[in-house]
Amino acid sequence: MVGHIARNSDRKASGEGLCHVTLTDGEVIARVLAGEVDAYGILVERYQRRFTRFATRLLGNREDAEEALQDAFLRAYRALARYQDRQRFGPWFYRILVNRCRSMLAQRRRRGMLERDLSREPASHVTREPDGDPAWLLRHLPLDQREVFLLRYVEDMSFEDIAALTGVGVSALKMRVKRGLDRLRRLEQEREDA
Amino acid sequence: MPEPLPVDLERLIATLREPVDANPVVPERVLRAARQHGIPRGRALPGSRWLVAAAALAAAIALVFILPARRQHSAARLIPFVLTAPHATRVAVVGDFNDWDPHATPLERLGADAWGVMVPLRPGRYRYSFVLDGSHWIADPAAPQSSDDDFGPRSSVLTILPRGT
Repeated sequence: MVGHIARNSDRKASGEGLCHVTLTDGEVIARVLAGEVDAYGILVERYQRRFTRFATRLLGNREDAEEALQDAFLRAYRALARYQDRQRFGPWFYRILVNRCRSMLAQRRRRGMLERDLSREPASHVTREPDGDPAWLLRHLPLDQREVFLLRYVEDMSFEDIAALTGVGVSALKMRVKRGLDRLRRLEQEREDA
Repeated sequence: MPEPLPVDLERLIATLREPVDANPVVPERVLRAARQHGIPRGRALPGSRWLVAAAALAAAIALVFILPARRQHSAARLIPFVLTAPHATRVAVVGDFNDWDPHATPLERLGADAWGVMVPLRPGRYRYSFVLDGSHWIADPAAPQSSDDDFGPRSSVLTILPRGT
C-alpha cells in the first residue's frame, strides 16, 4: 500500500522540493496539508497506475473509468484533512473509487445508455457479444461479484489483500468469487449454445 | 499456494489482463482543481481519542472477565443440516464454517427425497447455503435468510447459543 521508492513519475509530479525522497502515503498527505498542494500528484500517479485497469474493466470503458478516477481523487483531496488513518490511503481511496463507479453505473442505467444493465439481477440469457469481445460477459455479473473477480483474477491479488482493500471478510470474498465463476461459466455455456 | 485459474475462463481473463495505460491528463486535471480548491481543511472528530481509549478498555475487560467464563460453554456440538431435494444427484452445505468449499461437507441421502449431514460447530452465528449438483446455490428453506449484502439472497443464518443460555 505504501510506496517505498520514489519512482520517476513520483518525482515529476512532486516538484523540486520532493525529488529523490522516499515518501509514504502518510508523509505525502502531511506535506499536502502543510501547504504543498502539488505533492498530491504523487498519490494521484501512484494510485492511478494501480487502479486504471481495474476501473476500466469494472465500468466497461476507459472514458468512464478516467472520469471516475478523476472524481474520486478530487473527493479524496477535499476530505484529506478529515481522514485520520493516513498510512492507509489506498483502501480509503479504493472505496471512494468503487462508490463513484457504482454511481456512474446507476446514472448510466437511468439515462438508458446501457441497453440492459444486469448488474443487480440474475442473467436469464446472454445477449449478443459485441465485436467478439469476451470482456463483455463481465457486464452480466452483479457489481460486487465483478469487483472481486477482477481483483482476484485480473489484478492477481490474494484474498487476504483483497480483504484488506475492500474491508470484506475472506470467507465472503471466496463466496462471491465462487458465485461469479459459476455465473460466468453458465453464461459462457449459453453463449456457445446460442 | 494460489489456486489454479479456471481453465474455461482463460480467454476472458487474458483479455481483461491486457494493460490499460494511465492517462497523463488525469493527474494534471486533478492538480489544477486541487490548486483552485486550496489546502484541504478540516477538523479531527472531537473525542476520537477517547473513543479509542474506551474501546481498548472494553476489550481488556472482555479478555480478563468475560471470555474465560464463556469458554466453558463454547464446546462444539453436532448440528444437523437437512434438505429435501428429490431431484438432486448430490448436495453439499457451504458456509462460514468450511470456507464456502462445496467439496468439504457433502450431505448423504436419507431415503428418496431428503439429504442430511451432522456438522460439529461451536456457538456462534454462521451463514450458509446448500449447493445442489455442484453449482446451484440455494438458501435453507427451513431457516432465516441472511440479510447480509455480501452473500446475496441465497444464504441462511444459523445461530448456536452457548450451553446453559
